[in-house]
Amino acid sequence: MIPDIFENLRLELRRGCLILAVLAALRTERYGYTLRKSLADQGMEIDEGTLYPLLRRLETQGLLVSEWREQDKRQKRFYRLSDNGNQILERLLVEWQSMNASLAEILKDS
Amino acid sequence: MELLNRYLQAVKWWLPRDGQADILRELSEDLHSQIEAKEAELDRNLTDSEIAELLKRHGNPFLVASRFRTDHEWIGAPWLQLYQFILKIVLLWVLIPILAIVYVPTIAAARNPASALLSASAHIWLAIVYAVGMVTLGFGALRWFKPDLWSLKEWDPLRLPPARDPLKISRLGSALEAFISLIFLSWWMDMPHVVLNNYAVKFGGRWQTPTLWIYLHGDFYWLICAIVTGAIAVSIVSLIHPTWTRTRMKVRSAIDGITAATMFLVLGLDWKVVSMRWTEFLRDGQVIDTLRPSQAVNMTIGMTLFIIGSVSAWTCISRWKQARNMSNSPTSTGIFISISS
Repeated sequence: MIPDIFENLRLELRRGCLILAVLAALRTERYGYTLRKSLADQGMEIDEGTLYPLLRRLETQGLLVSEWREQDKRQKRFYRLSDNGNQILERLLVEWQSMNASLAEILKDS
Repeated sequence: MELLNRYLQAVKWWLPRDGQADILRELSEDLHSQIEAKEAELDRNLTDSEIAELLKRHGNPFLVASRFRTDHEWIGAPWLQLYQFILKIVLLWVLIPILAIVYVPTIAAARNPASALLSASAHIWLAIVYAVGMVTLGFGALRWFKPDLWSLKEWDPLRLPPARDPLKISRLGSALEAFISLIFLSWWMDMPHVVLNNYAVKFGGRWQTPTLWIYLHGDFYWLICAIVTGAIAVSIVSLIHPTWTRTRMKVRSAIDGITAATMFLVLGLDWKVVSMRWTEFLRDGQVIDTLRPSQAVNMTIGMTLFIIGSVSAWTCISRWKQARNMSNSPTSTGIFISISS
Protein backbone atom coordinates (compact mmCIF):
# COMPACT_ATOMS: atom_id res chain seq x y z
CA MET A 1 0.00 0.00 0.00
CA ILE A 2 2.71 2.49 1.08
CA PRO A 3 4.89 1.81 -2.01
CA ASP A 4 1.79 2.37 -4.19
CA ILE A 5 1.09 5.71 -2.57
CA PHE A 6 4.72 6.73 -2.91
CA GLU A 7 4.79 5.70 -6.57
CA ASN A 8 1.62 7.65 -7.35
CA LEU A 9 2.92 10.78 -5.62
CA ARG A 10 6.30 10.42 -7.32
CA LEU A 11 4.64 10.16 -10.72
CA GLU A 12 2.50 13.20 -9.98
CA LEU A 13 5.58 15.17 -8.96
CA ARG A 14 7.47 14.07 -12.07
CA ARG A 15 4.66 14.86 -14.50
CA GLY A 16 4.90 18.64 -14.21
CA CYS A 17 8.70 18.57 -14.11
CA LEU A 18 8.85 16.49 -17.30
CA ILE A 19 6.86 19.04 -19.26
CA LEU A 20 9.20 21.77 -18.10
CA ALA A 21 12.26 19.68 -18.92
CA VAL A 22 10.99 18.77 -22.40
CA LEU A 23 10.09 22.37 -23.23
CA ALA A 24 13.46 23.61 -21.99
CA ALA A 25 15.38 20.91 -23.88
CA LEU A 26 13.57 21.81 -27.08
CA ARG A 27 14.93 25.32 -27.17
CA THR A 28 17.42 23.44 -29.34
CA GLU A 29 15.89 21.47 -32.21
CA ARG A 30 15.95 17.71 -31.61
CA TYR A 31 14.23 14.54 -32.71
CA GLY A 32 12.59 12.12 -30.26
CA TYR A 33 15.48 9.73 -29.71
CA THR A 34 18.13 12.42 -29.17
CA LEU A 35 15.77 14.37 -26.92
CA ARG A 36 15.27 11.31 -24.74
CA LYS A 37 19.01 10.66 -24.64
CA SER A 38 19.79 14.24 -23.77
CA LEU A 39 17.24 14.24 -20.93
CA ALA A 40 18.54 10.88 -19.67
CA ASP A 41 22.15 12.16 -19.75
CA GLN A 42 21.05 14.96 -17.45
CA GLY A 43 19.34 12.58 -15.03
CA MET A 44 15.79 12.94 -16.33
CA GLU A 45 14.89 9.45 -17.59
CA ILE A 46 11.73 9.32 -19.67
CA ASP A 47 10.40 6.29 -21.51
CA GLU A 48 9.20 6.41 -25.12
CA GLY A 49 5.65 5.60 -24.11
CA THR A 50 5.52 8.82 -22.12
CA LEU A 51 7.65 11.07 -24.33
CA TYR A 52 5.93 10.69 -27.71
CA PRO A 53 2.34 11.19 -26.50
CA LEU A 54 3.62 14.22 -24.52
CA LEU A 55 5.33 15.68 -27.60
CA ARG A 56 2.12 15.26 -29.62
CA ARG A 57 0.07 16.91 -26.90
CA LEU A 58 2.47 19.87 -26.61
CA GLU A 59 2.43 20.26 -30.39
CA THR A 60 -1.38 20.18 -30.47
CA GLN A 61 -1.35 22.92 -27.82
CA GLY A 62 0.87 25.00 -30.10
CA LEU A 63 3.89 24.96 -27.80
CA LEU A 64 6.05 22.93 -30.19
CA VAL A 65 6.48 22.80 -33.94
CA SER A 66 7.78 19.78 -35.81
CA GLU A 67 8.88 18.74 -39.26
CA TRP A 68 10.01 15.50 -40.91
CA ARG A 69 13.52 15.74 -42.31
CA GLU A 70 16.06 13.28 -43.57
CA GLN A 71 19.14 12.66 -41.47
CA ASP A 72 21.56 9.75 -41.77
CA LYS A 73 19.46 8.36 -44.65
CA ARG A 74 16.35 8.13 -42.44
CA GLN A 75 13.33 10.37 -42.03
CA LYS A 76 13.20 11.87 -38.54
CA ARG A 77 10.72 14.19 -36.92
CA PHE A 78 12.46 17.23 -35.49
CA TYR A 79 10.80 19.23 -32.73
CA ARG A 80 11.51 22.73 -31.48
CA LEU A 81 9.85 25.27 -29.25
CA SER A 82 7.36 27.57 -30.99
CA ASP A 83 7.20 31.31 -30.26
CA ASN A 84 4.18 30.66 -28.09
CA GLY A 85 6.01 27.78 -26.39
CA ASN A 86 8.96 30.06 -25.69
CA GLN A 87 6.74 32.60 -23.92
CA ILE A 88 4.99 29.89 -21.90
CA LEU A 89 8.34 28.35 -20.94
CA GLU A 90 9.65 31.69 -19.65
CA ARG A 91 6.55 32.11 -17.49
CA LEU A 92 6.69 28.51 -16.26
CA LEU A 93 10.36 28.91 -15.32
CA VAL A 94 9.58 32.01 -13.23
CA GLU A 95 6.81 30.03 -11.53
CA TRP A 96 9.11 27.06 -10.99
CA GLN A 97 11.87 29.20 -9.47
CA SER A 98 9.39 30.88 -7.15
CA MET A 99 7.97 27.53 -6.04
CA ASN A 100 11.45 26.10 -5.64
CA ALA A 101 12.50 29.04 -3.45
CA SER A 102 9.35 28.72 -1.33
CA LEU A 103 9.85 24.99 -0.92
CA ALA A 104 13.48 25.52 0.07
CA GLU A 105 12.34 27.98 2.74
CA ILE A 106 9.67 25.57 4.04
CA LEU A 107 12.13 22.69 4.18
CA LYS A 108 14.75 24.86 5.92
CA ASP A 109 12.24 25.95 8.61
CA SER A 110 11.13 22.39 9.32
CA MET B 1 13.75 -6.23 -38.57
CA GLU B 2 10.85 -8.58 -39.27
CA LEU B 3 10.15 -8.67 -35.54
CA LEU B 4 10.00 -4.87 -35.50
CA ASN B 5 7.42 -4.93 -38.31
CA ARG B 6 5.33 -7.40 -36.34
CA TYR B 7 5.54 -5.19 -33.25
CA LEU B 8 4.55 -2.04 -35.16
CA GLN B 9 1.68 -3.88 -36.80
CA ALA B 10 0.40 -4.88 -33.35
CA VAL B 11 0.69 -1.28 -32.10
CA LYS B 12 -1.07 -0.02 -35.22
CA TRP B 13 -4.15 -2.13 -34.53
CA TRP B 14 -4.72 -0.35 -31.21
CA LEU B 15 -3.88 3.18 -32.35
CA PRO B 16 -6.50 5.83 -33.08
CA ARG B 17 -7.02 6.32 -36.82
CA ASP B 18 -6.23 9.98 -36.56
CA GLY B 19 -2.47 10.43 -36.96
CA GLN B 20 -1.88 6.65 -37.01
CA ALA B 21 0.71 6.67 -39.82
CA ASP B 22 2.56 9.57 -38.23
CA ILE B 23 2.74 7.91 -34.80
CA LEU B 24 3.97 4.65 -36.35
CA ARG B 25 6.69 6.39 -38.36
CA GLU B 26 7.94 8.09 -35.23
CA LEU B 27 7.84 4.93 -33.11
CA SER B 28 9.59 3.05 -35.89
CA GLU B 29 12.27 5.72 -36.12
CA ASP B 30 12.83 5.65 -32.36
CA LEU B 31 13.12 1.86 -32.25
CA HIS B 32 15.53 1.89 -35.20
CA SER B 33 17.67 4.49 -33.43
CA GLN B 34 17.71 2.35 -30.27
CA ILE B 35 18.68 -0.75 -32.23
CA GLU B 36 21.41 1.13 -34.10
CA ALA B 37 22.82 2.59 -30.88
CA LYS B 38 22.90 -0.87 -29.29
CA GLU B 39 24.52 -2.40 -32.38
CA ALA B 40 27.15 0.36 -32.43
CA GLU B 41 27.85 -0.34 -28.76
CA LEU B 42 28.19 -4.11 -29.30
CA ASP B 43 29.82 -3.75 -32.75
CA ARG B 44 27.53 -6.44 -34.20
CA ASN B 45 23.93 -6.95 -35.32
CA LEU B 46 21.35 -7.63 -32.63
CA THR B 47 19.86 -11.10 -32.44
CA ASP B 48 16.11 -11.68 -32.53
CA SER B 49 16.01 -12.36 -28.81
CA GLU B 50 17.89 -9.10 -28.10
CA ILE B 51 15.42 -7.16 -30.29
CA ALA B 52 12.58 -8.97 -28.50
CA GLU B 53 14.05 -7.85 -25.16
CA LEU B 54 14.19 -4.25 -26.39
CA LEU B 55 10.59 -4.42 -27.60
CA LYS B 56 9.45 -5.90 -24.32
CA ARG B 57 11.07 -2.98 -22.50
CA HIS B 58 9.33 -0.62 -24.93
CA GLY B 59 6.00 -2.01 -23.76
CA ASN B 60 2.99 -4.10 -24.68
CA PRO B 61 1.55 -2.83 -28.01
CA PHE B 62 -1.86 -2.38 -26.38
CA LEU B 63 -0.45 -0.17 -23.61
CA VAL B 64 1.90 1.76 -25.92
CA ALA B 65 -0.99 2.62 -28.26
CA SER B 66 -3.35 3.49 -25.41
CA ARG B 67 -1.04 6.33 -24.32
CA PHE B 68 -1.82 8.11 -27.58
CA ARG B 69 -5.51 8.21 -26.75
CA THR B 70 -7.25 10.85 -24.73
CA ASP B 71 -9.04 9.48 -21.70
CA HIS B 72 -12.76 8.77 -21.93
CA GLU B 73 -14.96 9.37 -18.92
CA TRP B 74 -16.73 5.99 -19.00
CA ILE B 75 -14.41 3.65 -20.83
CA GLY B 76 -10.86 4.82 -20.16
CA ALA B 77 -8.14 5.35 -22.75
CA PRO B 78 -6.67 1.80 -22.84
CA TRP B 79 -9.98 0.13 -23.65
CA LEU B 80 -11.44 2.71 -26.02
CA GLN B 81 -10.22 1.08 -29.23
CA LEU B 82 -11.48 -2.37 -28.19
CA TYR B 83 -14.79 -0.85 -27.06
CA GLN B 84 -15.31 0.85 -30.43
CA PHE B 85 -14.32 -2.35 -32.26
CA ILE B 86 -16.75 -4.55 -30.30
CA LEU B 87 -19.52 -1.95 -30.61
CA LYS B 88 -19.00 -1.86 -34.39
CA ILE B 89 -19.16 -5.68 -34.61
CA VAL B 90 -22.27 -5.87 -32.41
CA LEU B 91 -24.12 -3.13 -34.31
CA LEU B 92 -23.01 -3.66 -37.90
CA TRP B 93 -22.46 -7.39 -38.08
CA VAL B 94 -24.89 -8.77 -35.49
CA LEU B 95 -27.72 -6.41 -34.61
CA ILE B 96 -28.44 -4.81 -38.01
CA PRO B 97 -28.47 -8.14 -39.94
CA ILE B 98 -30.75 -9.73 -37.27
CA LEU B 99 -33.09 -6.73 -37.32
CA ALA B 100 -33.07 -6.74 -41.13
CA ILE B 101 -33.97 -10.46 -41.22
CA VAL B 102 -36.69 -10.05 -38.59
CA TYR B 103 -38.30 -6.76 -39.63
CA VAL B 104 -37.69 -6.18 -43.37
CA PRO B 105 -39.96 -9.06 -44.54
CA THR B 106 -42.70 -7.97 -42.10
CA ILE B 107 -42.50 -4.35 -43.25
CA ALA B 108 -42.34 -5.32 -46.94
CA ALA B 109 -45.35 -7.64 -46.63
CA ALA B 110 -47.47 -5.16 -44.65
CA ARG B 111 -50.43 -3.43 -46.29
CA ASN B 112 -49.11 -0.12 -45.01
CA PRO B 113 -45.29 -0.35 -44.90
CA ALA B 114 -44.90 3.15 -43.40
CA SER B 115 -47.04 2.34 -40.37
CA ALA B 116 -45.36 -1.08 -40.01
CA LEU B 117 -41.96 0.66 -40.04
CA LEU B 118 -43.16 3.12 -37.41
CA SER B 119 -44.35 0.39 -35.07
CA ALA B 120 -41.17 -1.66 -35.65
CA SER B 121 -38.90 1.36 -35.03
CA ALA B 122 -39.72 1.36 -31.28
CA HIS B 123 -38.50 -2.28 -31.00
CA ILE B 124 -35.46 -1.56 -33.18
CA TRP B 125 -34.53 1.47 -31.10
CA LEU B 126 -34.89 -0.52 -27.87
CA ALA B 127 -32.69 -3.34 -29.24
CA ILE B 128 -29.96 -0.82 -30.18
CA VAL B 129 -30.12 0.85 -26.75
CA TYR B 130 -29.86 -2.56 -25.02
CA ALA B 131 -26.90 -3.65 -27.19
CA VAL B 132 -24.96 -0.39 -26.75
CA GLY B 133 -25.84 -0.32 -23.05
CA MET B 134 -24.63 -3.86 -22.38
CA VAL B 135 -21.30 -3.33 -24.17
CA THR B 136 -20.78 0.05 -22.46
CA LEU B 137 -21.60 -1.42 -19.03
CA GLY B 138 -19.09 -4.24 -19.59
CA PHE B 139 -16.30 -1.81 -20.44
CA GLY B 140 -17.38 0.57 -17.67
CA ALA B 141 -16.92 -2.34 -15.23
CA LEU B 142 -13.39 -2.86 -16.57
CA ARG B 143 -12.57 0.78 -15.84
CA TRP B 144 -14.18 0.63 -12.42
CA PHE B 145 -12.65 -2.63 -11.16
CA LYS B 146 -9.26 -2.18 -12.92
CA PRO B 147 -8.47 -5.92 -13.13
CA ASP B 148 -4.79 -6.79 -12.97
CA LEU B 149 -4.20 -8.06 -16.48
CA TRP B 150 -0.99 -10.02 -16.04
CA SER B 151 -1.02 -10.97 -19.73
CA LEU B 152 -0.34 -7.34 -20.64
CA LYS B 153 2.95 -7.51 -18.77
CA GLU B 154 3.78 -11.14 -19.49
CA TRP B 155 3.71 -10.89 -23.27
CA ASP B 156 6.31 -12.24 -25.65
CA PRO B 157 7.30 -10.19 -28.73
CA LEU B 158 8.46 -13.40 -30.45
CA ARG B 159 4.87 -14.67 -30.39
CA LEU B 160 3.37 -11.64 -32.16
CA PRO B 161 1.41 -12.52 -35.33
CA PRO B 162 3.34 -12.37 -38.63
CA ALA B 163 3.55 -8.97 -40.29
CA ARG B 164 1.19 -8.33 -43.15
CA ASP B 165 2.31 -6.22 -46.08
CA PRO B 166 -0.57 -3.80 -46.83
CA LEU B 167 0.47 -3.63 -50.49
CA LYS B 168 0.60 -7.39 -50.98
CA ILE B 169 -2.35 -8.97 -52.79
CA SER B 170 -3.41 -12.52 -51.95
CA ARG B 171 -2.86 -14.75 -55.00
CA LEU B 172 -5.66 -17.05 -53.82
CA GLY B 173 -8.01 -14.05 -53.60
CA SER B 174 -7.08 -12.90 -57.11
CA ALA B 175 -7.54 -16.41 -58.52
CA LEU B 176 -10.93 -16.77 -56.83
CA GLU B 177 -12.02 -13.34 -58.04
CA ALA B 178 -10.97 -14.09 -61.62
CA PHE B 179 -12.71 -17.47 -61.51
CA ILE B 180 -16.01 -16.14 -60.10
CA SER B 181 -15.97 -13.17 -62.52
CA LEU B 182 -15.39 -15.54 -65.45
CA ILE B 183 -18.33 -17.73 -64.41
CA PHE B 184 -20.51 -14.64 -64.02
CA LEU B 185 -19.41 -13.28 -67.40
CA SER B 186 -20.16 -16.52 -69.23
CA TRP B 187 -23.57 -16.68 -67.49
CA TRP B 188 -24.25 -13.03 -68.33
CA MET B 189 -23.32 -13.47 -72.00
CA ASP B 190 -25.52 -16.56 -72.23
CA MET B 191 -28.38 -14.93 -70.35
CA PRO B 192 -31.22 -15.09 -72.96
CA HIS B 193 -31.07 -18.88 -72.86
CA VAL B 194 -31.31 -19.19 -69.11
CA VAL B 195 -33.90 -16.53 -68.30
CA LEU B 196 -36.49 -17.25 -65.67
CA ASN B 197 -39.57 -17.57 -67.84
CA ASN B 198 -42.02 -17.14 -65.00
CA TYR B 199 -41.18 -13.51 -64.37
CA ALA B 200 -42.03 -10.26 -66.09
CA VAL B 201 -40.98 -6.66 -65.67
CA LYS B 202 -42.90 -3.42 -65.55
CA PHE B 203 -41.05 -0.73 -67.40
CA GLY B 204 -42.38 2.51 -68.81
CA GLY B 205 -45.85 1.75 -67.45
CA ARG B 206 -46.38 -1.55 -69.26
CA TRP B 207 -45.54 -5.13 -68.52
CA GLN B 208 -42.87 -6.68 -70.59
CA THR B 209 -42.20 -10.34 -70.81
CA PRO B 210 -40.47 -12.51 -70.09
CA THR B 211 -38.14 -11.03 -67.44
CA LEU B 212 -36.43 -8.16 -65.77
CA TRP B 213 -33.23 -9.81 -66.89
CA ILE B 214 -34.11 -9.28 -70.55
CA TYR B 215 -34.47 -5.59 -69.88
CA LEU B 216 -31.25 -5.48 -67.87
CA HIS B 217 -29.53 -7.48 -70.53
CA GLY B 218 -30.68 -5.15 -73.26
CA ASP B 219 -29.73 -1.85 -71.62
CA PHE B 220 -26.75 -2.82 -69.50
CA TYR B 221 -25.23 -5.65 -71.52
CA TRP B 222 -22.06 -3.93 -72.69
CA LEU B 223 -21.57 -1.91 -69.52
CA ILE B 224 -21.68 -4.99 -67.29
CA CYS B 225 -19.49 -6.93 -69.75
CA ALA B 226 -16.93 -4.09 -69.58
CA ILE B 227 -17.02 -3.94 -65.75
CA VAL B 228 -16.53 -7.69 -65.33
CA THR B 229 -13.85 -7.86 -68.05
CA GLY B 230 -12.01 -5.01 -66.31
CA ALA B 231 -12.23 -6.83 -62.96
CA ILE B 232 -10.92 -10.04 -64.57
CA ALA B 233 -8.02 -8.15 -66.17
CA VAL B 234 -7.03 -6.57 -62.83
CA SER B 235 -7.30 -9.98 -61.09
CA ILE B 236 -5.06 -11.63 -63.69
CA VAL B 237 -2.46 -8.84 -63.43
CA SER B 238 -2.63 -9.17 -59.62
CA LEU B 239 -2.15 -12.89 -59.94
CA ILE B 240 1.08 -12.35 -61.87
CA HIS B 241 2.31 -9.31 -59.88
CA PRO B 242 0.71 -9.62 -56.43
CA THR B 243 1.56 -6.11 -55.21
CA TRP B 244 -0.64 -3.03 -55.39
CA THR B 245 0.65 -0.21 -57.58
CA ARG B 246 -0.86 3.27 -57.67
CA THR B 247 -2.22 2.78 -61.23
CA ARG B 248 -3.75 -0.60 -60.47
CA MET B 249 -5.31 0.75 -57.28
CA LYS B 250 -6.86 3.64 -59.27
CA VAL B 251 -8.15 1.30 -62.01
CA ARG B 252 -9.68 -0.96 -59.36
CA SER B 253 -11.25 2.02 -57.62
CA ALA B 254 -12.74 3.21 -60.96
CA ILE B 255 -14.21 -0.27 -61.65
CA ASP B 256 -15.75 -0.28 -58.16
CA GLY B 257 -17.15 3.22 -58.71
CA ILE B 258 -18.76 2.27 -62.05
CA THR B 259 -20.18 -0.91 -60.46
CA ALA B 260 -21.71 1.13 -57.60
CA ALA B 261 -23.17 3.71 -60.01
CA THR B 262 -24.67 0.93 -62.20
CA MET B 263 -26.25 -0.86 -59.23
CA PHE B 264 -27.84 2.35 -57.90
CA LEU B 265 -28.96 3.30 -61.42
CA VAL B 266 -30.77 -0.03 -61.79
CA LEU B 267 -32.23 0.32 -58.26
CA GLY B 268 -33.59 3.78 -59.09
CA LEU B 269 -35.43 2.58 -62.23
CA ASP B 270 -39.12 1.70 -62.22
CA TRP B 271 -38.93 -2.08 -62.30
CA LYS B 272 -40.95 -4.78 -60.68
CA VAL B 273 -40.64 -8.51 -61.01
CA VAL B 274 -44.06 -10.12 -61.12
CA SER B 275 -45.24 -13.67 -61.05
CA MET B 276 -47.02 -14.37 -64.33
CA ARG B 277 -48.73 -17.53 -63.21
CA TRP B 278 -50.72 -16.21 -60.29
CA THR B 279 -54.10 -17.88 -60.49
CA GLU B 280 -57.14 -16.09 -59.04
CA PHE B 281 -60.49 -17.74 -58.35
CA LEU B 282 -63.22 -15.12 -58.71
CA ARG B 283 -66.59 -15.26 -56.87
CA ASP B 284 -68.50 -16.06 -60.04
CA GLY B 285 -66.41 -19.19 -60.40
CA GLN B 286 -64.19 -17.71 -63.08
CA VAL B 287 -60.49 -18.60 -62.93
CA ILE B 288 -57.96 -16.14 -64.32
CA ASP B 289 -54.19 -15.86 -64.52
CA THR B 290 -52.90 -12.47 -63.42
CA LEU B 291 -49.61 -10.72 -62.93
CA ARG B 292 -48.75 -10.01 -59.29
CA PRO B 293 -45.63 -8.38 -57.88
CA SER B 294 -43.50 -11.05 -56.32
CA GLN B 295 -42.57 -9.41 -53.00
CA ALA B 296 -39.88 -11.89 -52.03
CA VAL B 297 -38.14 -11.78 -55.43
CA ASN B 298 -38.36 -7.97 -55.63
CA MET B 299 -37.00 -7.58 -52.14
CA THR B 300 -34.16 -10.04 -52.67
CA ILE B 301 -33.10 -8.41 -55.95
CA GLY B 302 -33.43 -4.93 -54.45
CA MET B 303 -31.39 -5.83 -51.36
CA THR B 304 -28.74 -7.60 -53.45
CA LEU B 305 -28.35 -4.58 -55.74
CA PHE B 306 -28.21 -2.27 -52.73
CA ILE B 307 -25.57 -4.39 -50.93
CA ILE B 308 -23.39 -4.75 -54.05
CA GLY B 309 -23.74 -0.99 -54.75
CA SER B 310 -22.90 0.01 -51.16
CA VAL B 311 -19.92 -2.33 -50.86
CA SER B 312 -18.60 -1.19 -54.26
CA ALA B 313 -19.01 2.50 -53.31
CA TRP B 314 -17.17 1.90 -50.05
CA THR B 315 -14.28 0.01 -51.68
CA CYS B 316 -14.13 2.64 -54.45
CA ILE B 317 -13.63 5.44 -51.90
CA SER B 318 -11.20 3.54 -49.69
CA ARG B 319 -9.09 2.38 -52.67
CA TRP B 320 -9.05 5.88 -54.11
CA LYS B 321 -7.84 7.23 -50.76
CA GLN B 322 -5.14 4.55 -50.64
CA ALA B 323 -4.06 5.39 -54.20
CA ARG B 324 -3.93 9.10 -53.32
CA ASN B 325 -1.80 8.40 -50.23
CA MET B 326 0.53 6.30 -52.35
CA SER B 327 1.06 9.20 -54.75
CA ASN B 328 1.27 11.99 -52.17
CA SER B 329 3.45 10.31 -49.62
CA PRO B 330 5.00 6.96 -50.36
CA THR B 331 5.73 6.56 -46.66
CA SER B 332 2.17 6.76 -45.40
CA THR B 333 0.60 3.67 -46.91
CA GLY B 334 1.77 1.23 -44.30
CA ILE B 335 4.26 0.38 -41.69
CA PHE B 336 6.51 -1.51 -44.08
CA ILE B 337 7.22 1.51 -46.20
CA SER B 338 7.59 3.78 -43.21
CA ILE B 339 10.17 1.48 -41.69
CA SER B 340 12.27 1.29 -44.81
CA SER B 341 12.21 5.05 -45.37
